[in-house]
Amino acid sequence: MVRQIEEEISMKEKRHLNVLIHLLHFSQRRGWIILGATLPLLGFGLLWYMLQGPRVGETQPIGKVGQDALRPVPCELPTLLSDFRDALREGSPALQRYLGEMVAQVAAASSLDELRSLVAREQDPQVLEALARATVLRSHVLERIGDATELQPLLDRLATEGNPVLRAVVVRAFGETLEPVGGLYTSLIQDPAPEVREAVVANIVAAEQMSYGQDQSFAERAIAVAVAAKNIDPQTSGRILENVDIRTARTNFVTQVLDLLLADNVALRKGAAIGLGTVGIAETQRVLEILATRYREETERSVRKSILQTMVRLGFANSASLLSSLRGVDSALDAEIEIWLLALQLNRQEWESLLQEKEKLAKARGL
Amino acid sequence: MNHIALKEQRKGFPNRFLAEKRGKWNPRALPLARMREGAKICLTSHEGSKSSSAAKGGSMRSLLKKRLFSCSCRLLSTFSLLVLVSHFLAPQYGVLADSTPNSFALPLGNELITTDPPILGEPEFIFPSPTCRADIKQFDAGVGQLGMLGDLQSLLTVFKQSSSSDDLQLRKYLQERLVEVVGTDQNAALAVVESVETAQGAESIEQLEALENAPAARTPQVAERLLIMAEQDVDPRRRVLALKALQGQPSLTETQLDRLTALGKDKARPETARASVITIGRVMEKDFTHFEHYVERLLDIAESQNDDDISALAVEMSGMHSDPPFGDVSRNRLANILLSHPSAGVRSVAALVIATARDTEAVLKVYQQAFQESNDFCLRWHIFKFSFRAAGAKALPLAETLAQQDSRFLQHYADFKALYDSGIVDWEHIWLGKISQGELPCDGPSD
Repeated sequence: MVRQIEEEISMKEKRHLNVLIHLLHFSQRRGWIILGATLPLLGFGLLWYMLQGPRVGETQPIGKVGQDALRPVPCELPTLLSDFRDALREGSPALQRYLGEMVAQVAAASSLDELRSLVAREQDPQVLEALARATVLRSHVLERIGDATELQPLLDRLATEGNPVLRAVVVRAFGETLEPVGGLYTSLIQDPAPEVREAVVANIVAAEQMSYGQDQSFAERAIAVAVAAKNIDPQTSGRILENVDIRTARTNFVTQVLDLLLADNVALRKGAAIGLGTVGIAETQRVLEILATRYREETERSVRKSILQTMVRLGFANSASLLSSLRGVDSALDAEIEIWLLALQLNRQEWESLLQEKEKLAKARGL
Repeated sequence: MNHIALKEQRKGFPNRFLAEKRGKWNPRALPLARMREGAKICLTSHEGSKSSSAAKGGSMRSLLKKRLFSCSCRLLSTFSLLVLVSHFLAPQYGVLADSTPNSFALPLGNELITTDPPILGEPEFIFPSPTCRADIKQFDAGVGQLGMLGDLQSLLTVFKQSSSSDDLQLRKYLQERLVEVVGTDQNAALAVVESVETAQGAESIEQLEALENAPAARTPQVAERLLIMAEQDVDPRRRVLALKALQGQPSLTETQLDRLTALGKDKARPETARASVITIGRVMEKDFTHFEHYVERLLDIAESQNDDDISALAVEMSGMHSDPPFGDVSRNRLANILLSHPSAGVRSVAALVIATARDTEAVLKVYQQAFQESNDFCLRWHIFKFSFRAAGAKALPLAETLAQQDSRFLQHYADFKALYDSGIVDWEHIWLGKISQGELPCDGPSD
C-alpha cells in the first residue's frame, strides 16, 4: 500500500520532471520566442494590475496628486511663472520660495531683451522680485557684476515705476550685486517713499558689514548716503551711521560725520555720535577732542550718552581720564560715567565684551 | 576666531552638489540604457543580415522577417524586463507608484534629457539648469490637506525618494514643507522620528535633519526620542542626524546634558561624540544665561576624550557663549588643559579660549607657565599673541619676558608694542594691524 503510494508519487514527479525537461528543451531552442511571448504577457498583466489602483483596505491615494507627481519635466518659463502666481495665491510658503527660486534660475538664462520685457510689465511684487533676481543672476553668470548694461532692465523699471512697493523690490535686487551706477544710492535715499529708502539702507548696511569695515569705498559710500538723507529722513540717516564701520573712511568723510553732530534732529546727532566710535586710529584724537566739546554743548541727554559711549570705544582704558573730566557737566549723567569707569576696570579687550559688561552693571543699578 | 565647529559639522557629509557637477553615474538609468542598447543591437544585426542575404541572392525576405521577429521579441522582452524591474524596484526607488503602499513616487535622477540652456556670448558661461517637477502645486496642496499623519506619511515617502536625488532645490523644498506640515504637532514630529527609526538605507533618514527647525521637535517627548536614537541606534548616520536635530532645542536639562556628555566621552564612536559636542555648544549659544552648565560638560568631554580633534572642538565650543567671561572654576580647568593636555593642538585652543576669562592676571600667569613648559613653537606663538587678547597693553611686560626667553618672538614683540604705541586700544584693531603686516606663523585651525 505504502509502496503503491510511493510509486504513484514518484510517477507524478517523473511526469512533472518530463514536462519541465520538455519546457527547458523547447526554451533552449526557441528561447527568444518564449521570452517574447511570456514576458510581455507578464508585463502587461502587471501594468493592468497596477492601473487597477489600490484595493480597499490598502493605503488610499493621498490628496489629488497623480501617480507621476514630481516627475522631472523640462523647465518652461511661462509654465513656471503661472505656477508661481498660483502658488502665491494658495501655495505653502515653502512652495512659494521654491518656485520663486526656480523662476529666478530659469529666467536667468533668457536673453537680455526677454528679461527687459518681463521686468518691464510685471506687476506682482514677488514675481518682480524673482525676475529682478534673475537679471542680477544673469549678470553674475556672465561675470559682469554690477554692469549697468546687464542691469539696464532694472534701472529702466526703477526710472519709470510709480509704485513705491515695486520700486523697493527693484532696489532690494541691487543689494545682491554692486551698485551699477555711481551715486545711485545717494539719489535713491532721497526717494519720497519710505519703503524705497528702507531698501537702500538695507543694501548699504549689508554691503558694508560684508566687508567687515575693510573696504574704504563701502564705508565712504555709507557716509555719503547718510549725508544725502539728512534732510529728507534724518532718522534713517542716523540709523545708517549707527550700523556701519567707518575706520577706513578718509578725513573729509569723517569731517562730514562730525558736522552731523550739529544737525537739528536728535536721532541723527545720536547716530553720528555712535558712528564715530569706529573711526580709524588716525582720526581718533581729533574726533575725541570734538566730542568733548560737543558733550559740553549738547542739550539732549540721549546724545550725550552716545558721546560717552563713543569716547570709551575709541579710548578703552585711556578714556578714563577724559570721562572723569566730564563729571558734573550734566549731573544726571554722572552715574553713567561711573558705570563706564567701573566697566573699564574689568580690563576687557574687545568692544562687544566691554559693552556687555557695562550694560550688566547698568542693569544691576537699575539704570 | 575660526569656527572650527562649523567646518567640523560639514565633515563627513557627502557633498551632493559636487556629485551633481561631476555627473555621477546613475544606477536607476540602467533599464533605459539597456532598452536603448537592445534597439541598437537589432538595428545592426538587421543591417548585417540584409547585406549577407543580398550577397546570397536567396530568401532575403524570409531572413529579414525572421530577424525582425527575433528583434521585436528581444525589444518586447527588454520592455517587459523593464516593467518587472521597475515593479520590484519601486519600493526602493519609486520608479512606479501605485503598487507601493504609499501613493507618491518620485522618478528621480537625470534620465531626463533637457535641452542646453541658451549660450550667451562666450560658451564658458554656464547658466543654472534646474530640474522642474510635474504637478508640484497639486503635491503641495495634497500634503497639506488630509489628516496630519496621513499627509505626513506621503511627504515622508517622497522625502525618502528625493534624498538620493541631486535636485537640491527640491530637497530644500521638501525639508521646508516637512517643517510646515509637522508644525507644532508633536505626534507628527514623533511620526517622523519613527519613520526614520524603521527606514533602511542611508538616503531615507535625512528628513530627520529638517526636524531641527520644526517647533514640535522642541518638546521634551520628541527630544527624548531623539536622545534615545542618538544613544542606541546601530547606524552612526542616524545617531549623528538625531544629535543634529537636537540642536533645535532652546535649552537642555541637566539630565539631557549628562546623557549628551556621556555620548561626547564615548571613545568608540567618534562621530557621535563629535556631533554631541556640537549639539551641546549650539544649544549653549541660545541658553547662554546657564552657560556654566554647558561649559562644565564640554570641559568634561575635553578632559576625558582621547581623540584630540574632539577635545579641541569641545574646548573651542566652551568659548562660544557670547556673554559672560569664564569664572574661576572654568578658568582653572582650562588652565589645567593648557598646561597638561598631551596634544599641543588642544593646548593651543585652550590658550585661545582662556583669554576671555574674567581674571586676566591669573590668565597671564598661566600663559607664562605654559610658555616655559612647552617647546612647541606654535603653542608658544598662540600663548604669545593671546596674551594681548587677554590683557591688552598690560600684557606687554610679559610678552617682553617671553621674547627674551625665545628670540623668535622678538620681532613680534616689537610689532605689538609699536601697534599699542600708535594709540590702538582694543584687541580687534591690534590684531587687524598685526595681520596686515604680513604672514604669521602657525596659520592653523586654532588661529
